[in-house]
This record gives sequence, C-alpha cells and structure tokens, in this order.
Amino acid sequence: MCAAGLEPVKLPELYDGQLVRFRVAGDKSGSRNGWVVLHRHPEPVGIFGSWKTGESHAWRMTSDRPMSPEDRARQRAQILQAQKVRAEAESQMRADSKARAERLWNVARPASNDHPYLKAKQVPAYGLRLLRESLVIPLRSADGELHTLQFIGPDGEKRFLTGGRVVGCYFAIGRPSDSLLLAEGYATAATLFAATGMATAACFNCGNLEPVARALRAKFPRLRLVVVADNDAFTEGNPGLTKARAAARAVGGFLAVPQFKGGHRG
Amino acid sequence: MAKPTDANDLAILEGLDAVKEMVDKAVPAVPPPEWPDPILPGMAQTPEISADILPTWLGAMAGAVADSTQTPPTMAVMLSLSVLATALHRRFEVAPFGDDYTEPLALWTLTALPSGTRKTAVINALAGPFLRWEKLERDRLRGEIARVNSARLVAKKRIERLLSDAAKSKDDEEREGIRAAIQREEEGMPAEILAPRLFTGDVTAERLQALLVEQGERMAVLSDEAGIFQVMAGLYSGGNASIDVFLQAHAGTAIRVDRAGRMAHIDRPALSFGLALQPGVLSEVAASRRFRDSGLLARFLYAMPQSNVGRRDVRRHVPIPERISADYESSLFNLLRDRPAQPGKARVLAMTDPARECWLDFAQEIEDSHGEGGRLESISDWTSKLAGAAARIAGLFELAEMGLTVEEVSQSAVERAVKLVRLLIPHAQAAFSLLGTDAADNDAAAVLRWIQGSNRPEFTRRDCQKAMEGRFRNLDRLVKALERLAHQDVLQEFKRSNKGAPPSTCYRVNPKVLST
Repeated sequence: MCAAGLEPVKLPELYDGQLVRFRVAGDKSGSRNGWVVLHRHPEPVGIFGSWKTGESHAWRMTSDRPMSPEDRARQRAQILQAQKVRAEAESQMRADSKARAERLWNVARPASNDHPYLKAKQVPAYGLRLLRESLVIPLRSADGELHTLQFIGPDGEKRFLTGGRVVGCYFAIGRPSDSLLLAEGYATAATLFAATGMATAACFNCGNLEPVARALRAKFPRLRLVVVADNDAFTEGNPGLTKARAAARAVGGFLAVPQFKGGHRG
Repeated sequence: MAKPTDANDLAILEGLDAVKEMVDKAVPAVPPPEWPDPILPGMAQTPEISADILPTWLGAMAGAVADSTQTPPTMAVMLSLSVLATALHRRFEVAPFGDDYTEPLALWTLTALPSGTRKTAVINALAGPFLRWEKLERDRLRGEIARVNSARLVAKKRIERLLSDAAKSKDDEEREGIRAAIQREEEGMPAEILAPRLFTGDVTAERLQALLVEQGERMAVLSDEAGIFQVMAGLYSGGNASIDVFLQAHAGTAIRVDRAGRMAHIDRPALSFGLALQPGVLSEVAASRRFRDSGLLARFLYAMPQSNVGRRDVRRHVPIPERISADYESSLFNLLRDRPAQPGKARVLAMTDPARECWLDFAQEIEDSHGEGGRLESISDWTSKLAGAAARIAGLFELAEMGLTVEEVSQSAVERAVKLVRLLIPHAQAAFSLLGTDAADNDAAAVLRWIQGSNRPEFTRRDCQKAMEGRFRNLDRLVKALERLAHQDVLQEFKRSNKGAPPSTCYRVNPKVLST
C-alpha cells in the first residue's frame, strides 16, 4: 500500500474477507478514504484503494507452490465477492454522503462577500452558502445532481464531506456561451469569472480537472474549453500544470497558464 | 503571499486585466492538425504515380523513359496507358457482370505539364514502336497495295470508257450489254487496301470519321500539341464545336454520317487519346461550356504531375536500356499480332468473381462520395465514369500481362487498376480546378477572393453573406459555395454557440490559402 501511495496513518486490523476503511497518510484527519480487503486462503491476496482518488490495486503473496485449479477458482470467487462488497459499501457510502449533502445544503444560508476567506481572496460569493462559519460549495455532476459539499473555514481550511463523490463533479459559475473555463479551486474560478465573464467550473483539485473536462466535453461538445492551470512551479513535477495540460489535451481544449512578473515568477 | 501559483494570485498581484489577458492567450493543448494542401489552381500537391503500377514490361519501359528524360513518372504512366489502349481497343471489351454491359478498352488520358518538360521526348519514346510497326506493315503490304490500286485504276478507266460507249449507243440491246459489263467491272474491282495506321497527331472531326472507316473502326490521337482541342472547339467549323464523333468513339456507340459527298457508317468505333499539354491549354479548354456539359472533359483521365524543371541534372544522361526497349517493342508487337484489318466482333473478357467484387466495392465507394454534399460532388461528372475507366484499365492490364489469349480479368488486375484510378482522383480535382467551373465553382472562387482580400483566418457565414449580399441573394447558393471550398480543403466548418440565440455557423480558413 505504501508503494502505491496509499500508506495508512495507522495499520488497520484486517479480518478475512471483510472491507476495512482507513485514513490515508496525507488525507485530512478524520477522513477514511482508504479501503482494503484481505483474503488469507488459499493464498494471501489483498485489494486496496482510495475512494478519494478512485484508484484500486491488488497485491498477492508470491509463492513457489503452484496453486491447484480448485484453489485458483476459490480465490477468484473470493476476489469477485470482495469487489461486490466494496461496490456495495461504496454505493452505500456515496448515497449516505449525498443525502447528508442535500440536508446540509438546504439548511445552509446564502453567504455574503464578507466571509474572511472571500475577503482574503478578493472574490465575491457566487452562489455560495454559509453553514456556521464555513462557506459551503456544492459539487454537482454534469447532470446537475448534488453529490457532496466542500467547506471552507474562515482560515481557508478546506474539507469535503466524508465519503462523497468528488471525481467528475464541479461547481459552475455563470452560464456557458462559446467558451468555458476550468480551474482548480473556488477562488481561482471566481477570479476568472470576474475577469472574463466566461462561465467557469471549479474542479477542486488538479486530479479532478480531466474527469470534469471530459464530463463537460460530453455535455457541451462544441464549446471551447480552456483549462486554466495552477502554475505549481515550486512543487516538483509542477502537478498543477501537468494535470491541466493532460485535461486540455484529453478534450481538445485550450490551456492558459498564469505567469508572474519579477520575484513572483511562478 | 508566499508563492503565487494561480489566477487568483495573479489578480491580486497584477489585476483582473492580467487574468483576462492570460485567458485570451490560451493556446491549444494539442497543436491543431496540419492542413492539407488546398485544391486550388496551381496549389494542389498531386501524388506521383510510380511506373511499377503498370504491368511488367510496360512499367519497366515507363520507368526507364521517365528516368532517361528526367520527367515525372506520372506522365510516362499515363501515356503508356494510352499506348496500350491504342494497341488493344476495339478488339477487346470488358464485361464486369459477364452480360451485355461492356466497357470498351478505349482510354483518354491527358497529362498537363508546362512547356519545356520533355513531353515530346516521352511520347516519341513510347509511341516509337507504333511507327516501326506501321512501316513494317506498309512494307509488307506494298506489293499487294500496288497490285490492288492498279487493278482498281484499270477498272475505273474501263468503266469510264464503257459509260462513254453507253451514252453514244442508240441500240437498247447494245446499251444493256454495256451496262452489264459495267456491273461486272464494279463487282470485280478489288476492295481498296490501305496501309494500317495506329494513331494520328491531329485530326478534324470529318477526317476522324474517315480514318475510323478506313482503319477498322479504331484510331488514337497521341500528341503533345493542343490542336485537337482547337479542332473540337470548331476551328474548321465556323466556331461550332464539333465533338460528337469524339464522344461516340469513347463510348463505342454507332456513328452514322450521311451527308452530301460524305458517308461514314461505323458500328463500334474506338478512339483513344494520349495527350500531354500545357496547363494553360486546359484553362482555354474550360472556356467552352460545351466541352464540360457534353461530358467530353469528364472522359479524360487527368494527370497533373509536379514539373521537374529546375531540379534536373543536366550532366546526367541515362539512355533507355536496350533490353527494356527491346522487350517493350516486342511485347507491343505481340499485342498487335493478328490485328484484323477489318472490324469484327470484339472479344469480351468477363471478370472473375473476386475481381468483380473488388470492382463493385470501388464503384460503390465512388457512388457514396459523389452525391449531393459528397466529397467528390464537384467532379461527379468525372467520377461517374471512373468505375468504367477502372474496368477498362483492368482489361488492358490483364491483356498486357497475360497475352491475347486471356479469357477473364483477374482480381489482381482490377486491384491494380483501382489503385491507379484512386491516385488519379486528386489529379482530376487539380485539373478540374483549372478547368472550372460550374456555378458553385465560380461562387466558391468569389468567396475565396473575399477571404484572401480580407485575410481572415476565421469568419461566420453571416459575415460572408453580408459582405457578398450582391452575389448571394439566397443562402442556399452561398452554402453550396462554402461546401465546395470545404471539399477543396480551403475551409473547415464549425459551430459557435451564442447566448440565448441559435449557434453561428463559422469557418476556419486554411492558412496556406492566406499565405499566398
């Protein structure tokens, strides 16, 4: 799991054939996006992944002893069963999260531009709501269905509703005419909308740019899609630019990259 | 701010205008695909047709001629096809279905190359064996021709004398005897023998009719001069185009001429063309609407190769290898062996089942492309004859490769013929862009002038209609012209959505059009 980048913060206790959830190192505290299922017989096999990123991996203990056809069939059945359990668990978790998101969104009240985060970022509240002190941003799929929420605290700390679907979901500002911009976070998207008047989709993380771009391309086949990258020039591999370019390429779109003058060169 | 990374940081540091400028400068993540060359006069890059597409001995000769003369192989290929048709037309036909639908083997090719591109040298090299064959036949028949001519002269003189005697005679019985003698002379007069001719360089419509009568209903025009088009355009007929005999002889339909002083009854004429002319001549030809409307221009297979002028090595002198030219000549002579002086029934070659399937696949492909709005719509009069041309060429290839005893056209011959005619499509598009010109072509040319005049990389259909409303009173005509330009790789259509309004139809312009 470590090799796959899904190192658990604390090793979970594993029960044969049961799905166990855990917090992935680097994820927010309290989150349990990681999952793992282990089968000990006939050969130890594990399947694990992250609901946050959508990835899944398999692991098998290598052995010199060849498996008998019966053992292989048994193991295949176990794997299928584990996949079924995982799918059911994920489906249940997504449904629970969706219901919670609906409930919380309905009780939240419209946000004003006075929120400290908005003031710090110098952007207005485009369709945001406020729940206690946090800004609430809805994440919807291309068919308009609400899936989860993002909360931004006054100090700028961002959290998603646990277990909600993020991949392929976005927050839209404005209505598209001929062009549609895609950006990572809300503040970036709001800035772009304010500067250009073009409809903008906030995708919330660079890994989600491509799934959202594909979903929007399917919804608006003739629209000019412009992916506006975060220029993470100070991070190794510049993930913001790399992912934005991949997203734009995937949909035959355009790429815009902020360049900073002088000492602020990005 | 620690380390600025995103558009929000840019707005805080440099303002919203900087953000807008960044978005305006967005570049395509995938570089746009390279535009093909537009199909416009002088701009289209036509594919070279390699000599190895021809059957063995013919391909070897065409390649050697092209190499020796440093000319594009395409020209040698086209003229070789005409030479082959000249040797075989009228004697054979191809029946794709094995029934009464047959394609004669007459073929019309026209290669357009500028002056100074050694067209004459290529024609002379390829048609040379015909001259030698004609001379050999003349020599062989010299004695027989002299005997028959003298016998005919004597008979004619004797008839003249008998007519004079009959006119003077006052006795009915005597006159009847003289008449019977004239009849005997007429019946006994041997038929005229003419030395066989395979081709001519320049001929009037009337003389062509006579030549077809004299030469077993077949003739070819192999020439690098444009005189034949001037004749067709009515040089000797008061400016009235005289092309019926040419059209009929391509299709093989019967010719019946009954005029005072001239008669010609030809049941199954066959006429082949092998022309190598200057592109400028094509433009002149286009001036005659009758040429295109009658289907005359659609009967030619065109080649518009790239000229080698300026790229030739003047020190390089490569003669045609003796072995290749000898093989070429003997193969041609073999095809001309037992060539009957008088026309008989053409031998029909059916296609094998796989050959027919291959041919039908190609015919269907063309059919699907040249309808309304299709890729080949602008030259549909030409493409309508393309499947037939492929069948003709396949028959010629089969005979050239397998000899005169062949019974069927094989799949490999059809495949090779289809490959060749496919290559000819861009050549025809280039040629017809010179030839012009139906109404849509004229409209398309006007739109192109507007695009180039305003140097627009992109425009909406509405902009175009507004700018040219004097010409395009209705949208249908403009749409047709824009479609034509799209087929010629000048434009690409796309839609741009509008807030609260129907999307605009827009066009991107091929930069290669703007750069000229």
